[in-house]
Amino acid sequence: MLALMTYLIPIAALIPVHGLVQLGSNTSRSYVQRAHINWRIVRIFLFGSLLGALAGAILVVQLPAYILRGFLGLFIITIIWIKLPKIENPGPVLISLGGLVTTFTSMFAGATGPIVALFLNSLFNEHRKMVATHGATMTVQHSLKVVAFGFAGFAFWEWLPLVFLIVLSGFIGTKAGTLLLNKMPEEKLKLCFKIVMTLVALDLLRASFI
Amino acid sequence: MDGMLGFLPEGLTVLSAGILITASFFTSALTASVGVGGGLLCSP
Repeated sequence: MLALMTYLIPIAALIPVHGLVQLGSNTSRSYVQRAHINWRIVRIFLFGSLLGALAGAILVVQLPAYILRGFLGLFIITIIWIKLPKIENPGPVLISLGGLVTTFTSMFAGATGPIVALFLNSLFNEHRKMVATHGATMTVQHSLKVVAFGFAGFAFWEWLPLVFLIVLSGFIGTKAGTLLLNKMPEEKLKLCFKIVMTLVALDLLRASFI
Repeated sequence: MDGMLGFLPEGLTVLSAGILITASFFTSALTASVGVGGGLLCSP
């Protein structure tokens, strides 16, 4: 949604409104898939996220968008297609560090969902648990972001009716996507995940050069 | 149509709002099924 919003929403409102929309959609996704959430990981992730949000709010450094896109594209392709050593029972420090770094980045770049997805993907053997826990961790991230922008004085109320409709539409989409998730075999889901993530990465690289 | 404009933030057209609402359905379905931030697929 973030990239589409850059064409349609004033740049000053882009990151806060995107955060609010993502908060709504990830909350609904977490609710629909709540039975599969790993709450221990979410709690540990929250600890790191709090530190990341605090650091992001203090540091007002913003990298050019093309550098962020290029870095993200290369990062995703590397993680997806290069075999990395499997992390066996990752400890709380590593999970918390992931929360810290991705939440910090989210304060400036907006969309860190793919990075968090890649990070969680190495922690789960079952894809639907990864998807559900990913929704919960993104809810944590976007909650912190909305609170930060609210304290900064952004007028969220002007955008509430539109955001409500976007979130409602997204909720229906989540239900449809969850039905697909429950019907497809695990191996096919993993292959779809890799293909989609590669397409995302290639598009990010294209956008960073054009 | 004028009534709908009252609910939209200043400077945003009904068409733009419609595109965002429709896109939300598809990106959410993608995210729920394969677990990625589908919105990035449309990056400029």
